[in-house]
Amino acid sequence: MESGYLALVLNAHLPFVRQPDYPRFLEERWFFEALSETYLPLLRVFRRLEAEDISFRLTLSLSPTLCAMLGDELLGERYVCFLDGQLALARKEEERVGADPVFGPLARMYAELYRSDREDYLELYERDVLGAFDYYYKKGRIELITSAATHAFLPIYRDNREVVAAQLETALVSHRRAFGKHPAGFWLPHLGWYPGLEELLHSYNIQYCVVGTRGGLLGQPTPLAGSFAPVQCPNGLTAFIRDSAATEAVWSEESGYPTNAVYRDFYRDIGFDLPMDYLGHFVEDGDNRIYTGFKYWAVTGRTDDKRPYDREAAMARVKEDASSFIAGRLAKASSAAVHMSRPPLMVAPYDAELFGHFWFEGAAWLEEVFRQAAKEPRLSLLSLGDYNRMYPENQVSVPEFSSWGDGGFAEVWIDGANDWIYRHAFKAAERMTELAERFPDESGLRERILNQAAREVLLCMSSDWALLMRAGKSASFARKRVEDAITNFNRIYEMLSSNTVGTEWITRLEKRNNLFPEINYRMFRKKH
Amino acid sequence: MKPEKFESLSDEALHALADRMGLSLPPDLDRVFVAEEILDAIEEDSEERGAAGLSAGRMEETKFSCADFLDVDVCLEAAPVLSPSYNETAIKVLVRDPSWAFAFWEIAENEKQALFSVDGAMDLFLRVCETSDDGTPLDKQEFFDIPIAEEDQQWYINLPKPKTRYRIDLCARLDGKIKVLARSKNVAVPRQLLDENWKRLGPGSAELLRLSGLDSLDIEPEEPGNPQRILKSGPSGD
Repeated sequence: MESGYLALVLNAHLPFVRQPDYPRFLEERWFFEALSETYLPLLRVFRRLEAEDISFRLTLSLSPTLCAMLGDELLGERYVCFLDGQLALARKEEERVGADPVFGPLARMYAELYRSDREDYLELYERDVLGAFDYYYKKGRIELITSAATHAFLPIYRDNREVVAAQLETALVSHRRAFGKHPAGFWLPHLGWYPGLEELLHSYNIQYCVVGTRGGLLGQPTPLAGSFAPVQCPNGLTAFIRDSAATEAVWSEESGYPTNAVYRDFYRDIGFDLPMDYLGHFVEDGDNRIYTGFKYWAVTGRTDDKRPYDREAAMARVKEDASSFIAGRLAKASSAAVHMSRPPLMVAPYDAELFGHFWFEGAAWLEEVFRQAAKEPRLSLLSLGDYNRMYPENQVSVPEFSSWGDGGFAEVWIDGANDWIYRHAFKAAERMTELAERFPDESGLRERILNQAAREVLLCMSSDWALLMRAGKSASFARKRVEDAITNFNRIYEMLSSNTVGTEWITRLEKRNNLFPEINYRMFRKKH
Repeated sequence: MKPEKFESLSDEALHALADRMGLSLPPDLDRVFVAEEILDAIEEDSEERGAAGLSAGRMEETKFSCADFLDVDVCLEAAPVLSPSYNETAIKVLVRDPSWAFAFWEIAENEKQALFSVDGAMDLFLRVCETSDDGTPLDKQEFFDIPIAEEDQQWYINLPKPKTRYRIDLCARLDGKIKVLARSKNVAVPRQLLDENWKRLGPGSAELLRLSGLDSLDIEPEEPGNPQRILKSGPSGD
């Protein structure tokens, strides 16, 4: 019998940053970098494991906005340009430091990374990255789930049932469109949960979600097995509880694996070290340096005096950290098992982009965890759906309102830097419901306009913008995204109220914000 | 961030940026000093974020790093300005955590004019009322009032008790008579302590809760007679 179960859960998500009005756009790099450093390397991990017949199980949430961007033709074209730019810089770097015994191999490592990405993207997957994930989904290696349409932090909208329903419904339609199946699970953005959410999730035939440790433990009644077993809401929805130790082992800034001195440093980048004229288009607007992705230094410690990155040492460390992770989970499982009638479950949810993008060795670490776990009979890796099928009955409890953000509740998303959003977002949602009630049976151009209005309402609710405003990162961009969405919505509302239609403008807007092609504005109708 | 970054901004945009950052500066302050204040605030904020540690939520920010954000973050000119007014009388409340709620409201222009045209004393206030679980008023109404100014549109409100439901009324007092202008929905404030029935869980469950990280989350068991209240709010997330 197993000592314990481990469920690794990754949330792959980026907000909708497509900007067709500009030939190139800085924030689209978030998407290109995540593709290059996380999504494609993750698929290479799956490919190697499958080729070697090594069993692996993973629950992966692909958010609807990310799916929209992964399936977008224009972004696909731009991604190839991005890769060509990276490869051109790689060639320059090979010329610059190729002969250096320390930095030469690192320049070649980046050249190889981008060559592999280009080959996989264009030749192996023929630009269909969603199809690549679907392949492992259909083969039963990974379990794909979805998340809120625009990653809205749902507890904020708890009093507006139409908004939460629209976020769910759009997500489910998007998932079915991409993968042809209804997802069993739902990733709560930032693990944002509130009592009552189970009703909507269940009504859309969602079987499970993951909640934060705080929310789970504060549930009513208190969960008898702590976070080592899920709880079941009275209506049958399973709420898995995040294992805080498994998450801390990776995410702690003080002691998490990525902080190890030998790993590659994320912040030290040639984009900030080399002369601007050398960097060429890696300088924005003539004087803003950006990350190029070429980073030659190790974390070293809390110092600016970094040591050169040693790939071999880092990969050796990956093996040690994977062993340590598994040993830690086994130890925890063994301590918990004596108090339980079934093997304890540890749910380890992370943002996917941590692996490879921020923590350069993260994808390799995941691969090593899968490899070592496959040889460890006392620990079974499974998906959340696997567990749910194995143990359909769980203690009845309703988790408390919570999230995984700072403070554990909604402090990140309701803050002096971003609270202005909600006056407008709620008004737009209220007006959207009013429009859907006034025009329930529209078709043709008017239906298109109403559908675009629904897109704009959903876009203004993206929690990423609030997060960035609070963090002070790209805050003016984030602010503009919200303001644009609300301005677009208000313009449509006024057009429909005065019965005037700007066809040319709406067509341009549809082309710009082209996500969710199957959206149905009627989902904003009153829920009784 | 370099001070030259501000050169492309008009005086108005510079002051607007300071406002957005919560800096209260005299409107006629020279732009050089406004820029300095903004730079100081950014630096201070950056240091605070660095000292706060990296929770799961903060780790999420790293996927948005493709530039030194401080260097590219002053491009506000193109942003459309949203009117803070929808000319309606309404109030909405969002619960932030066990001790704070964010309330925002508006009074329609005609209603405001009517209120202020009445002879005699008039003041505006928020009445924070405790309600029962199903939203009906309690037998013994418990409430407190927060005076607000005519130009106020939002407040963060410190709530006395977690695990409680509240409703907030936007009120005007006219010559001693209270008029409710708008009423929020009832909102539920989350608990922050374990239910007091935890003592009946048995040693096995108590140990499982401990292994689940109860201590690191600062979740303490609730004791009878010990009212739930946030005493500290650390940076650690979930």
